[in-house]
Amino acid sequence: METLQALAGGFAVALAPVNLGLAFLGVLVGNAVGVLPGIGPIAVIAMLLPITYGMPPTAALMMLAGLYYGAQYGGATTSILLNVPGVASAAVTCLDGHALARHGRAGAALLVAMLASFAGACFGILLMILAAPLLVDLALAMGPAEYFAVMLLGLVAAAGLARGSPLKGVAMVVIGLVLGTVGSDVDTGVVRFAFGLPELADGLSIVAIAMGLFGVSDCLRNANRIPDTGRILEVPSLRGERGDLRRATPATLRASAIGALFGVLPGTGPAIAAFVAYAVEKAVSRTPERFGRGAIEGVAAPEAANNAAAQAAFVPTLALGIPGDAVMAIMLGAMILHGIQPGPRLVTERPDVFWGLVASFWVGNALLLVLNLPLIGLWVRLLRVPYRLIFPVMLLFVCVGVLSVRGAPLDVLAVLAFGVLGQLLARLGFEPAPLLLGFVLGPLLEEHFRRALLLARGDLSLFLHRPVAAALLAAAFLVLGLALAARLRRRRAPAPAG
Amino acid sequence: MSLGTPNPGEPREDEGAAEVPPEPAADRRRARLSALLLAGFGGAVAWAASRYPIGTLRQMGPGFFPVALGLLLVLLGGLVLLEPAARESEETVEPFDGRAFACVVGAVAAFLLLGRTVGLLPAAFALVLLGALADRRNRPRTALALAAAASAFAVLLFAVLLGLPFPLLEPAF
Repeated sequence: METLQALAGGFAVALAPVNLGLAFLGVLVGNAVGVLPGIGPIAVIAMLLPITYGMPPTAALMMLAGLYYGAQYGGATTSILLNVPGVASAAVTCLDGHALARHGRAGAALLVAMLASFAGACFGILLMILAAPLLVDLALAMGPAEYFAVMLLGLVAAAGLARGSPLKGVAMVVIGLVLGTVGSDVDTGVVRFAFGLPELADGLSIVAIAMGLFGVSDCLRNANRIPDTGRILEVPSLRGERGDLRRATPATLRASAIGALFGVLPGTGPAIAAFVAYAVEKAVSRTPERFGRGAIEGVAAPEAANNAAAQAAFVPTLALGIPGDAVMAIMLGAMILHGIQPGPRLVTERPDVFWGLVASFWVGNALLLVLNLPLIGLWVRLLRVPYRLIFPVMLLFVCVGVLSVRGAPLDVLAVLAFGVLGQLLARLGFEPAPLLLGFVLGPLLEEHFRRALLLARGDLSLFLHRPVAAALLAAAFLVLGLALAARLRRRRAPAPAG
Repeated sequence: MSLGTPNPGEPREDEGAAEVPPEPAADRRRARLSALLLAGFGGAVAWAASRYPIGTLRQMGPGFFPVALGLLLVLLGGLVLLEPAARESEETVEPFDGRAFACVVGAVAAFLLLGRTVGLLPAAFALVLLGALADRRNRPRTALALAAAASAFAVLLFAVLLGLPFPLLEPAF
């Protein structure tokens, strides 16, 4: 009952004209970002973050969040029509989505993808409504040792589950933590690693890092590589067959649960959720041989899962103040820049923000469901614009955007430096996402570590004496150990042909 | 299909031509370079941070955490050397695209240089022009037209619509 009242209050916030308008703008731009391959939500959230400085915080967050979950819808469109994922989490959708399109059933695939996306998102939002208050109670009982352990688990999970080497993932997290120490130390006020530059005294800007690692680096990687495929594209007619919904519904429900679970867990996100949900559907299907040849469940499952995960990812971010992946890390950065400190107190003391966001997610998803299909002609036209004409403009928006933060040309240089660094690291097999997460969590991790040891009078064994912290740390080591073992095993197994 | 954290917009499986599977020797070279970079960066961080007060475990100074992180990076650098290389199908390295790299870096450099001396309008124009030339398929005429359109659009959006205080035709910073 109390929850329903709070939710009603949230809808009052979400439906206020400014909030509704900006959420609408967010999901619309997000949908376009999702449709366009080569442009991801992290870079675009970072690009638009400076523009939101003048806006009311709640409205700004609704818009930025809309960019993220809107991109999940758009990603499926490109997967189905072009066999190229518009966003990474829609990669699995290509398998059956594009197979359906080749059989002339692109319309059915799009229809089911949108319905499954909406169902998955609703599931994720429901989880937010139910789990966030519980998590708040839990969080209020957590001391600095437990907070430290949760964050460490999240960082290790993000590193271990990243593509490629888990050791390199851990290294990226540590580099992120180092970058997070730049600027004045919270406890003593000593300015670290500023090299006499006043711009660095406030620390590195998350906008510059995210734009460099994800915006500029993507330009460097994708220029000359993303083919012009737009001309062959036709606007599909949206028609399903009678059996489609019957097949897709159970898959959607199972995948929504999987997605919501993976969204809440640290280190896993929409991409992994979609992959697992697809594998589960193939395993439980009585006709697994249809998968990869145009099974409608193979579209419904990953789309329900990645949208459920995208929404559920907000649970730990908002209720604990601990983001689980790089997108949530930049959302956390956006909240802090807007003077909103996520965590258990956000839910209790700023219900307008928390419940407003929850309600806005629902409104935004409903808008996406209503808009995405009628706008399919627009998305197809957008896909006809080749990437080679888009990235130079994006580069301009990156530079002007970062300059508008505080007018410091050093920030533009930082973006370029991080872009080049990202390219170098990618060539050496390092993933950029764990770095961003480490950067955002670094100051919090250090603060809680220092506070925990201060309370324990410098006794490191405190982490073993507190059962919750000990269990979380054990889980962190287990995740890392399993990731390393999996890699070693894969190395020994003979590589499959192709 | 590999498990991965969301890494936006990355079409991996769509073009076979540009990808070369790494040879064992190239793999070892990459591992050595990775280890060297990690150890070098970690060592530099630990050394630089050691000038700040370290404190004790009970009352940590500002140097404690970064020194620990720097040493951890050195350790990780060593471990990366020991780690067996990835399976071929898992990691593919595309050949280095010198043109894209030079053009993108040059574009941002031109933006900073022109922004400092002339103003943001020519800076924006030069940025898009050079940036567009990063892609071989963009002809000079296309790049010019794109630069003109994009800088006009940027002026409209940032200066007129959003009202940001951008000096268009005088030094911006």
